[in-house]
Amino acid sequence: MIIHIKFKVNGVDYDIKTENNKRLLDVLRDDLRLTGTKEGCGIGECGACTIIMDGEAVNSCMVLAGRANNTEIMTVEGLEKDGELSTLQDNFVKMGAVQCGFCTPGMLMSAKALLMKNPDPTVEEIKEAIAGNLCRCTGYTQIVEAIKKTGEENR
Amino acid sequence: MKYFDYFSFDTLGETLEFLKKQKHFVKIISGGTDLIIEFRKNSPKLENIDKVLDISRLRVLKVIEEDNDYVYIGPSCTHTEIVKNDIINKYFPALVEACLSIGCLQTRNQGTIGGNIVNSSPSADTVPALVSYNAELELLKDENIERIFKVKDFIKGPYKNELAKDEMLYCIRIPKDNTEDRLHVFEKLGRRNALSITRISVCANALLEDGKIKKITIVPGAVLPRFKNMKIAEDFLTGKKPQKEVLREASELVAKEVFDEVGERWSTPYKKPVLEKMAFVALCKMFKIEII
Ligand SMILES: Cc1cc2nc3c(=O)[nH]c(=O)nc-3n(C[C@H](O)[C@H](O)[C@H](O)COP(=O)(O)OP(=O)(O)OC[C@H]3O[C@@H](n4cnc5c(N)ncnc54)[C@H](O)[C@@H]3O)c2cc1C
Ligand code: FES
Ligand code: FES
Repeated sequence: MIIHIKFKVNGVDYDIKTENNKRLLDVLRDDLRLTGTKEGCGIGECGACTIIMDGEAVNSCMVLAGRANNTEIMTVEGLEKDGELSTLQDNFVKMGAVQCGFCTPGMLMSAKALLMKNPDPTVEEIKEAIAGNLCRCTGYTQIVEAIKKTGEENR
Repeated sequence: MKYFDYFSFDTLGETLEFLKKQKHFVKIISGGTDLIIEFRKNSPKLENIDKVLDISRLRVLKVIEEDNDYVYIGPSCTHTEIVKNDIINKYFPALVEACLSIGCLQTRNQGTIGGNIVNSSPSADTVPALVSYNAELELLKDENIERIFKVKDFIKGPYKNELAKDEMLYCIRIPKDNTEDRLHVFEKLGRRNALSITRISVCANALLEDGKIKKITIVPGAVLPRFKNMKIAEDFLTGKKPQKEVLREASELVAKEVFDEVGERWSTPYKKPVLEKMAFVALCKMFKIEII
């Protein structure tokens, strides 16, 4: 069965036909070729596939394609502007918050969703926001610091 | 992923009409956080399912309202929406705590209260809170055929409930019943751990009068096949002053009532003291009594 999805991804309007049996994660990666969003566990536990849907961080491996109809989505590709990294991304790089990088796109989207609502969050608020994003490399400290710094620069 | 056809309608009328016409079970999908995992596993539970009905577009299922007697919660409200809602915070703080304890933020942003109830897992975290507040469910068949169940009667056992194949959960309504004058608590093991699987919980609320317990409700989660009040401990506590020793005795009664029902198992020596301790901590917290 083919379904028709109209949605906005990173500010661009899309109008696509795709298999109804897909997850939003597959639509983003395979149909739109936005491969920044990663698949880790595929069962909602690692956060690697986190995107922002209508302002909220969600795991795109848990969303059916059809559900994305008429929504507004932001993926990691939507962070940079004209080839320049966003402050958040820049701080991840500077603070050593990226090691193997597999968790990074999801981590950035959880951080972005937090900063959109709460421009200067506390460490506690940051930890709560990224609690669903697993990182096997960094030990999280650098990630929390990078988000904190971005918040402070928003003051 | 299991193959299915996907349907979604703009109105409740069309949605119910579609449900009525189906010969086989259609799977309703709301947040999908329970269901998509089942689809990916090709779970035997979904053997006869070849259609999915997405209800997430229906705005009517997302409202939270109140009148003099009840608060009405649409089943498609996400855990995050419930946590942020002023009415729920005012009347049912233990439900707020229960929703806050679920998974991680992404899961709370996506998962819904209706999905949590209808999935009917023995460890569904909103259910002990709903049972403790005596919540009821409105199930809808036609726009005018409605059945009403108490949450505790709706869930018949692990992953089993009263929902008929052409029915949907339309509304969760909770009687106000002076809940704003009560003390409330929701205590869960492994709280704020996105990955916790064993999630024993204890939910309670109580009304005090002249320093004595006038009314108390205690409902544990993830320890029984069905959710129920801890009648023996509740009766024991009614009329007493909430003092530490009394609460300790009540906690023993909670653990005893549960394990008398489920019987001795390999896990009993582990779970029983945990439940007893959790009930004690929950009751002390609720009555604001220092534990040590
Ligand atoms: C990583 C992770 C962590 C989790 N942690 C917890 C936790 O700590 N505590 C907890 O309790 N749960 C937890 N869950 C389970 C899940 O998120 C919740 O049960 C959630 O509330 C389910 O809601 P949903 O909308 O996603 O359900 P769905 O998957 O959409 O549906 C679940 C079931 O309900 C039915 N259904 C949904 N809405 C209706 C309706 N209106 N009428 C009729 N049937 C309906 C569906 O047909 C399906 O059978 C976790 C899940 C994940 C992936
Ligand atoms: S891939 Fe989606 S949460 Fe792990
Ligand atoms: S940097 Fe490797 S998983 Fe986070």
